[in-house]
Amino acid sequence: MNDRQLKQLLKQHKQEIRDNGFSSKVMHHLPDRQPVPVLVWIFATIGTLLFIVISGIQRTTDMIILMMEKAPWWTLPVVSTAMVSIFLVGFFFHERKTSVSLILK
Amino acid sequence: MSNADDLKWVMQVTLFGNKNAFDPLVRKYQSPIRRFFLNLTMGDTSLSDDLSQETFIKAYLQLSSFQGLSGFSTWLFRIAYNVFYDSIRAQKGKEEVSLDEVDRHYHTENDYSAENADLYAALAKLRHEERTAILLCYMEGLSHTQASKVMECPLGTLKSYVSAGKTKLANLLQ
Repeated sequence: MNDRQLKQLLKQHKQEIRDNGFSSKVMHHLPDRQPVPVLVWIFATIGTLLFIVISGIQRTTDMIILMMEKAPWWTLPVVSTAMVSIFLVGFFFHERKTSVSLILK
Repeated sequence: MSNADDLKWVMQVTLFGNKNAFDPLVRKYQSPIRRFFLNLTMGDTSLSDDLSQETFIKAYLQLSSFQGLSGFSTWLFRIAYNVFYDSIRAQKGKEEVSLDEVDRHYHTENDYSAENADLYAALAKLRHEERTAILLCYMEGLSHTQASKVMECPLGTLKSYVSAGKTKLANLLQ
C-alpha cells in the first residue's frame, strides 16, 4: 500500500458525525461567564470621548509631524526598522515558545 | 463559516459575555472533535462524547486565552489532545501510564468499531504519538505545522511520527 492509497483509505473512513442533540447538550452544560466588568466599559467610553473632545487625532498627528521635522533625517528609517524587527522577533518567539497560547492546568 | 467568523463568535463570548455565541462554534466543530476522540478511543462513542463535551466546556472557560494567532480549530484540537491524555492520567492515578494499556482499556465494541474494525485494529498497534499525528494530519486535515502545535512538539519530530505511522499502517492494512 503506497502513500496515496493510505490517504485514500483514511479518507474513506472519515465519517461526518451527526449532531443528534450534542451541541444543545453542551450549551446546556456551559457554566455562566463573567462579562467584562461595567467599569471597563465606562472608562473606555470616557477615554474615547475625551480623546475626541480634546481633538486627540489632530494633536497626535501634529506632534508626530513636529517630531519628524525636528528629528534628524535618519530617524524614520531607523525607528521603523527597529519597530518592525521588534515585532517580528516577538512574534516568532511567541510562536515558537507557546505554540498555541493555552493554559489548561 | 470562516476563521474570521470564528473570531467574531469568540469576541462575542469574551467581550460581551454572550453565551449563545458559542453555539455556532460547537455546531461547527462537534463533528471533527468527536471523530478525533472516536478514533483515539477505538470507537467508544459514549466516552468520546463525554470527552468532547469536556473539551468544549474547557474551551469555553479558557476562551479569553485564545489569541487568534493559531486557528480556532488548532486551538480546540490542542485542548482535546490534553483532555484525552489528562483523562487517562486521571484514571491511572499517579502511576506511570503505559499507553499500550490505554489502547487495551479503550478497545470497545460498538457500531463504529464494527464499521472501522480493521482501521482501529491497525491504529491500536501504533505508538500513541504516531496515531495522534496520523489522525490529525490525515483524518482531520491539519497541516504538519498545525499538528506540531497541537502535540506541542517540534515540526521535525511530528514529521517523523507521521512517517513512522504511515509505514506501519501501510504494512498493517495490506
